[in-house]
Amino acid sequence: MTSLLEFLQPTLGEPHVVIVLGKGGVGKTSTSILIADELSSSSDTLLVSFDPAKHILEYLDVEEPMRVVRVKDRLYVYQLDIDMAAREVTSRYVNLLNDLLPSLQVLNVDDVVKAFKYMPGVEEEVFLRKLLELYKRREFKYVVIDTPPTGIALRTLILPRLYNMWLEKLIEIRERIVALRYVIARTLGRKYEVDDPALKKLYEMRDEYRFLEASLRDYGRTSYVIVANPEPLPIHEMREVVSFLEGELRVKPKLVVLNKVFPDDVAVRLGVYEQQRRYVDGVRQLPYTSIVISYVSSPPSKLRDIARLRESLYVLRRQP
Amino acid sequence: MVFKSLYLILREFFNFIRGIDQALIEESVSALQLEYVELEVAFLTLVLGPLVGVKTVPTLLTLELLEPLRDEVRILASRAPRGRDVLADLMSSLGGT
Repeated sequence: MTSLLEFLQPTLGEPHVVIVLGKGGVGKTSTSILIADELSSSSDTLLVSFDPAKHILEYLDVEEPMRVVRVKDRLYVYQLDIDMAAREVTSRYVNLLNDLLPSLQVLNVDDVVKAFKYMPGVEEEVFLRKLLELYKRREFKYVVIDTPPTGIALRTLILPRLYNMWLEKLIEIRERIVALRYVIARTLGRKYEVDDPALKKLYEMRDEYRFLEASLRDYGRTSYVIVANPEPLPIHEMREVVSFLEGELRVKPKLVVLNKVFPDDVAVRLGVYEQQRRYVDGVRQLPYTSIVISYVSSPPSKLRDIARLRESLYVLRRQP
Repeated sequence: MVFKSLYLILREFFNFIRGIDQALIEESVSALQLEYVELEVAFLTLVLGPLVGVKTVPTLLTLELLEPLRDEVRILASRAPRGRDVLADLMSSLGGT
């Protein structure tokens, strides 16, 4: 039987993070489960879902999000809930915000959380914070991430670079402020505290986001898997994702998964044979390892159904 | 002759006083002009910033920096309500009470 593990090599550093991308409805969640299940046969693996639809809870019979739950021998699962995550992040700052900005006192805690949650870009920022936490979880050898819809996922992946640009600028300004303060204090013969907490925090954040940016670009540390169906829109989105990864992140996908491919006789009967063949050939010509998962008559809804997907899997192109 | 000399001295004296007055007014106005230009630049930078490349800092970075900047933000917030009374602010910065 084909092993997915061989397609995700090299895997350097722990945890190795597998990021599964693709259009909504193409089978990202089942592919993520398939990969995580297989990886967990050799090592502790955490399957994380950033997907707001939370399908993974249903698939794996997990009752609540935001907790790491063991579902099988070495397989663990964590479903992120964006509302709860935003509350978790905001609640750390609510008292401080109310203290520093008295105008916010007209809002209660819930309103501050809501105001924060619906700010443009905050959802991506919450995902980013979780992503950073995941790269630091040394207790797992593999982390497989089922991503939210493509737009949000790609914006999240580019955020560390944006953060680093901002942090460099802020550090530059802050260093000038600290230097000026020092010169003024020395000139006036005043005592001056050299340690600046804000500058320290800025250095700390720069180190963290440099680490994340480097990890996302490290072929040995992160594997990108793109899932598509042999249909016009999913294939179009797959090309968009490839172009983003190569153009913006300067990385290559390790694996392209063409999911829900009809057997030839079924495709002929449905009148989609030509279209499907065209897309399958198109994916085969891409310079990446690609696999096909055949269409199964009853869509998988539980972990045990995933085994059937493995049986229907075959390699389309093996890239050395 | 004496009256004329006295008149000239007095006229020079009043001109001198008027000059000081004018200089004080002009100095105050120039300080106000400076403040006005600064406020206008700050306001336009905030409003038009996204169009001219001055983006706002990502929210999470702002939140992370709140704690170490606590004292500075407090000073900034205490200055804000006085922003309307520019003259008072100016006088206080010159050492008035």
